[in-house]
This record gives sequence, C-alpha cells and structure tokens, in this order.
Amino acid sequence: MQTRVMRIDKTPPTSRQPETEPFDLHREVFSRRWLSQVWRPAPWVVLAVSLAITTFASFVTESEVTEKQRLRFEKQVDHLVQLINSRLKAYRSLLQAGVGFLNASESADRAEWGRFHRSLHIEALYPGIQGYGYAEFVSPESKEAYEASIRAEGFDDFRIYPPGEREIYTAIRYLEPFDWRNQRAFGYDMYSDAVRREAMARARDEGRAMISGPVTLVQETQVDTQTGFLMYLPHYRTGAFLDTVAQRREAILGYVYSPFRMEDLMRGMLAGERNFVAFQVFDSGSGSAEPQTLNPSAAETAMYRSSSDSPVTSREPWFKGQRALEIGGRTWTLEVQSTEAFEAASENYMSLVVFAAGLIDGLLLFMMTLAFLAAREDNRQVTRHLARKTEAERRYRVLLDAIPTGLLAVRADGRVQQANRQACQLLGYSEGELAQMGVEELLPEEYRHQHVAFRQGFLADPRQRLMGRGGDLYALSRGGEKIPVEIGLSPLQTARGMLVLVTIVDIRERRQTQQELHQLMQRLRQKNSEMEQFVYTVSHDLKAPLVTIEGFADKLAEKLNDVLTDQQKHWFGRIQANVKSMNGLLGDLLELSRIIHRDAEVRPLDTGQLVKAAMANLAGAIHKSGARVVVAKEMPTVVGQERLLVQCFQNLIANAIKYQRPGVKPRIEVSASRQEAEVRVAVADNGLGIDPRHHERIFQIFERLDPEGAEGSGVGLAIVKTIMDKHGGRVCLDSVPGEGSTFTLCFAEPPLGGELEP
Amino acid sequence: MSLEILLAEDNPDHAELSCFALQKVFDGCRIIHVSHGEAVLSFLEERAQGEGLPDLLVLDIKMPRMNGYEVLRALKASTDLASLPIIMVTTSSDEGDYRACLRLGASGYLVKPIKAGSLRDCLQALPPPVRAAARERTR
Repeated sequence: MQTRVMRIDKTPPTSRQPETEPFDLHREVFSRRWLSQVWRPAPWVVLAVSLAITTFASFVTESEVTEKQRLRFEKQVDHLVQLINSRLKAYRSLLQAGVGFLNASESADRAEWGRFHRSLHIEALYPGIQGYGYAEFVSPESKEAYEASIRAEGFDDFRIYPPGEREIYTAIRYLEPFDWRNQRAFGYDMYSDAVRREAMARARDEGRAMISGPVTLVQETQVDTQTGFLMYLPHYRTGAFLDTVAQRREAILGYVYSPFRMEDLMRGMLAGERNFVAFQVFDSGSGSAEPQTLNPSAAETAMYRSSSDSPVTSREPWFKGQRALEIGGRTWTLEVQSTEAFEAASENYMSLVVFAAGLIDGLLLFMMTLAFLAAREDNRQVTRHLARKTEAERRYRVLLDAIPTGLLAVRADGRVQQANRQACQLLGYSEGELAQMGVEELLPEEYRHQHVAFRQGFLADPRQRLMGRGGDLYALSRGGEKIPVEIGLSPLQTARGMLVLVTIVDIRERRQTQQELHQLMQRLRQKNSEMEQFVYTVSHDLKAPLVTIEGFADKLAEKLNDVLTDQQKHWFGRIQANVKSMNGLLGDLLELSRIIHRDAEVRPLDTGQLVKAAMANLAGAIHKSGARVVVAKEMPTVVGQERLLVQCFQNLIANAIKYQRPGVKPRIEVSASRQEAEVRVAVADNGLGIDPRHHERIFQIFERLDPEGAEGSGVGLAIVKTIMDKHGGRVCLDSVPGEGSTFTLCFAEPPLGGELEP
Repeated sequence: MSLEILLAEDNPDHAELSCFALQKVFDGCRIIHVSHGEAVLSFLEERAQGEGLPDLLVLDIKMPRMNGYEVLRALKASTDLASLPIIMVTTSSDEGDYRACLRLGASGYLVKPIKAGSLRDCLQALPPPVRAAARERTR
C-alpha cells in the first residue's frame, strides 16, 4: 500500500511530514495478531467444513485402498490355488510316467522301479511327495503265491495286511524311497480301506488319476501325525480295451500311486512363497454321491491348516476367501485369510495421510481466514486512513490550485513531479503531461544546457532563493511562447531525495507595466526637458525686448531728467521698476530651470563658508538694510554643489531682509545642529514671521505673501526647496507671526569617514 | 587716436543701446557693428592681414550662425587673434556662463543692457590702452 501524497511516503522519522494523526502502516498491519478475529464465526465455519471434507476424503481413500488390497488378496488366493493345482498336475504326470514305465518294461522288477524313481528326481523337483509306489491287485487265489514271491525277493516278513479274508486284495509292491517310513506300508492292502478304495475304484472306472479323501497314512507313527491323501493312476493290462467301465474293471492290474502327507506337501509346495495368506484345506468329497459318512470328521476337520502354531482364527483378518478346487475327482475347499504379513506389507497410511493433510489444511485455512479477517480489518482501517489522507490531499490540492502562483515540484533528476493549476495554465500542459517532462523542456532552447549545471549547483547548495541573477527568465509554453517569469526555488527534503519547489510568477503584465512606465518616464523626461528648454527660451527671449525697454527707458530718463516734472519722473520710475521686477522674475525662472537642469561638482562644503559667500553676494542689500547677520563659530560640513547651496543661503538671507518688521533692524542668526542623523543649518530672523497657514504655500513657485512688495519674484523659496530636494535634504519653516521665522536646511549626515558620494 | 571697438550683436536695439554705453565710456570711439558670429571672424581675419585689429571686441553670446562661445573659442585658438580683448555680453546673467567665459579667456562679462557703470567695472581687466581711452566718470 502506498500513500501518494506528495510522494513522500515511508519518510524516516527525522524528515517525517507532520500529520495531524500519525499513522504507521507497518504497525497497523503487523502488530495486530490474527487471533484478534477468533471470535468471528467465519473461521470456525471454514474449519468445520474443511474437517468434514477431510473426513470424507479420507473415508473415500480408505475404501479405495481397501478395494485395492482386496484385489491383491484375491490374487494371492488365485496364486495359491494355481500353485496347488499345478503341483498336483505335476504329480499326476509323474504317475503317468510310472504307468508308462510299467507298460514299456517287460519285467519291471524292484530294482528297475527304484532306478526309474531315482531318475525322476521327484523329491528334489517336487518336494512334498511321500513316496512313489506301485500297488497291484492280488486275487484271493494267488495271495499265498504272491506273498511267497515277494518273500523270495528277500523280504522274509512280507505279507499282505491287514489280515483277513476279502474278495480281492491289493498289495503295495514297490514304494520308493524305500525308507523306514515307507516300509511300514510295504504290503499294505489299500483296497481294504474304504476311503482309499473309493478313490481306487474311481480311478479304475474312469481311467484317470484320482485322489482319495483324507486319510491317515500307514506310514504315520504317533509322532508328527499328518493328514494325508493318496493319488492313484490305474494301470491296465497292456493291449486291453478300455472304452467302458466294464472293460477297465476287467483290465485293471494295479495302481501307480503316491501317498502325500499334507503338511509335507504344502511345505514343499509353499517353499519360497511369502506367507501373505493363511489357509485351511477341507475335503468336500468326491463329485460322486459318496457319502460323507465315510469320514465324518472330514467335513469339519481341515486336511491342512497353515501356520499351525498360531491358529488362523485367533485374530480377525482383513480379508477372508474360499475357493473350491477340483482335484482328482475330489473337491478341496480352501479357506483363505490374509495374514499379518500381508496386512503389514499392504499396510496403507494413505487415508491417514489424507486425513492429516486435510487436518493441517483445515487448520491452515482456519488461520488464513483469521489472518484474512485481520487483514481486512486492517485494510478497512487503512482505507479509512487513506480516505482521510485523500481528503487531506484534496484540501491540499485545492490550496495548491488556489495559489495565484504557478508551482512545480521537481525531483533532483529534473523530472517534474507535481504541478498546480496555475502552472498548468501558464505552461499550457496538463498536470499529467508535466509529470512526464523534465524541467528543462520548459525552458527556451538556449537556456537548457546551462540550466542543467544550474540545477546541480542548486542541489549542492539548496536554499530558498530567486532564480537568475536579475536577468530575464523565460518559460517556454506548449505553444512555444517565451513567457517572462520570475522563478523562486525552495528545497524540500524528502525520503526519496530532494524536491525543489519552483514558484513561477508570470510577469508579462508587470513587464508590460514596467515598459509602459519606462516609456512614460521617457516622455516625461522629454517633456520636462522640453519644458525647461521652453522656460529657458521664453525667459531668454522675453528678456531681449525687456533689455531694449530697460535700455531705452534708462536713456530717456537720463535725457529727460531736466524736462520731466516730478510726476512724470515717478511714472518713469514705475516703468523702470517693473522692468527690473520682470527682469528678476525671468532671471529666477532661468535660475530655477538651470538648477533642475544642470549638475555641478559635488564636494564637501563648509557651511560657514557658504553663508559668507552668500553674504558677500548680498553685501549691498545687507548694508542698505542695516541688517546684522550672526554666524555661529562652529559650522558643519555638508556634501553638495557649492553654487546651489550658496544660492540657498543667499535666498534665505535675502528673504529675511526683504520681510523685515517695520521699525526693527533685521537680525539674522545662522546656527547649526545635528539631529536624527541630519545636519541642520538654521537661518533665523526677527522679521514679520509667517502664519502657519502659509507654511506649505510659500515654497511653491510664484507664491508671494505680500503681492504689494516691490521686491522678490516669488521664486526664491521655491529655489531653496528645489536645491534641497536636489541634495536629498529638506527645508523646514518654524515661524511665529510678528516675531520672526526660522528656516532650517536639513542635510542627510554624510557617512562616517568622510567618503563622498556623487 | 580714437579707440576702435567691434560690436557683435544681432539685435539692432541692443546694438544701439550698447553703443550708448560704449560711447559714454570711450568718448569718440569708433564702433564697427556686425550682426553674427561668422562676420566677426571674417572681419577680424581680414583686419589681421591688413590694417590691424580693433582695440576691443564686445561679443553677444546668443547670436545666429556662430554664437559667442564659438567665436570666443575660435579667437583664442588663433595665434593672430588671441590677443584681442573681449567683453562677453548676455541677456540673462548666469554664474555658470560667467565662469565659462572667463575660463575661455574673455576679459569681461556684462549683462544687457550694458550700463556705463558696469562697463567701467570691468575696465581693469582690459589692456592699458583701452583703459586709458576710458573717460573718467562724469558724475
């Protein structure tokens, strides 16, 4: 979030702009713990929903996993069935090999059978088989002879057992390996046993290998008694017809058979197999209607039970299954269940992972919601603050635009950052356009280069000042107009570097006014000059006829002196007096114009000397009037034009004599003082005095208080005033009518050290 | 031998009045009148070649063609004519004018109308022959 006021954001504390309400964004956002929003319902809803979803997801996962495991289990079961099936088929083939051997051999004796058996390597290739033997039918008639023939082979104890009279006997003639266990079966009549007989009959009748129901083999002892079964393959007489049951019964000679001890068989079969399943094998009887009663326990007692040490039922397995297996005319039922090994191997934590992940997600969501709410709350505060700021900025903006001066904020690199309305109007750009521009673009081409250096100079020594050194400055407007301006510069330190506030005052009007004023002054000066010339010319030209009048009047008066009456002489005198008066007036006018017009040398002057010079010029008048002029001993030095200042004093003294009180001899005192940084020279008289009403008037030209007085042009005090004006001084009057007047000439005190100023 | 005075004056009235005063002071003097500045110079130059310069030049300042100052400067710059005594005459007295004239080499400065008295006042600055020719004050 960024504040945009003047682009002074993130200002360090030292240069932070004072705000009415300090606002620390960082503190506002991050100091508030998200826990502050824990009372709100939204996060809890989020948590509940996410937990529900998680639970459902883990349930679904669990189901899928279970289904996969079930399939795996089924495969295991299929594998087991396949294993048993294929093994038993292999044994059947072995038996067929035995039948083939018997058919092929003319005189298959015990030794050959033994060799044949050994050549098969049955125990090595198909472990689990108890024996490989041959049993043959023996009729009651030939029983004695048969027993005798076997005994003749060296088995002295041989006999067919169990003993007893039976319709037919079978005798186990060969049984390999002929070890002690198998020797127990030597001579055993399997046909005497119902279970065996049933299988043997089936094999004989159907002409193929058959399996018996569960039996206890005669090889069994009291130790490690196993359930067993037998597989019989019928051996018929060579060349006999075997198409019908009767033919097969007639042609039957015996059986190549194998006894199996169930556990040995399974152990051999399952060697190398992993014990993922535990199973029991039940014999479900033959496909024929053989009564179960033959072995009542068979239906309930398993022929085989894997992992006998730990009963399979002791725990509840994950999976159970049952398969029926058609083998050798019998149906074996396999009851299979998963083992701990299977379960351990397929132990699947996916659902747990799903649940845990979901739980974490839910908690995260919960916290994120809290954080979001907290952030939103903060955001609101920030928004409110920004709104206040915006308001402040708006006010600031109004203020900026209300300033009658153009204002630019320029960055150190010379880019314009902000401009007020006046600046935009003056320069003819929008603020947006100005913000794209460098300040140099606002200058006439010829100033741009030097301005860059000037800008660097300002940054090196930033202080408030006017731009330019009295030279004319110009801004270049969009329309290419060079606008005369006055430019002020003020540095403004911000965190992003220095801003230069540039005030731009359009001085076109001022410039025009100045020009007009200048022209006016020129015209005035010209007029003045013309006027002075006019005054000079007029007074001079007026003087010429006056000279003639005066001259001839004097001549006439001289010539007619003896002729004229007194009355006529008086009239002549009036002419001469007026000529003289007019002469004086014209002379004063000329003098006045010259004072204004001409400048003489300015130098330090002793006022005492000036007064004496004036007195010398007036010696005649002073003498005539009997006036007494007293000059102070210590008189100051002033700086001025000698002739003019003498004229000043001369006029004042003449005035004092001129306006003397009747009957009172003029006494004129000239004194000096220093007051208020002025040198003051006072000329005081004891004359008529001047009414304060007239104090202003008397310094005006042609003003005379007594028009009747013959002398004086009315210009004298005007000349004094003009001279004092010209010297940067002034003349004051202090007077009491009937007592006298004091004229004071006030000079600005010359600077210490006596340095002269022209 | 009577004094010979050259009067340079454009205003005939003034010239006549000046003659009164000159004749009053220098009895029986011979006055030659010219009415502009150039005439002064041509007359004097001609005289300098022949019969000699007049004894005094009375020179009005404000004149057509060449004013009094210009004539004064020209004369004082000329080797032949620089010795001629000159009295400057003006209609309106001015101290600045007065000083300027004296600085440029004029012997006197008179304000018109020229009076016998004021003329006598400046005799002292004139060479002895001129001074000697001046008649004593009658009254």
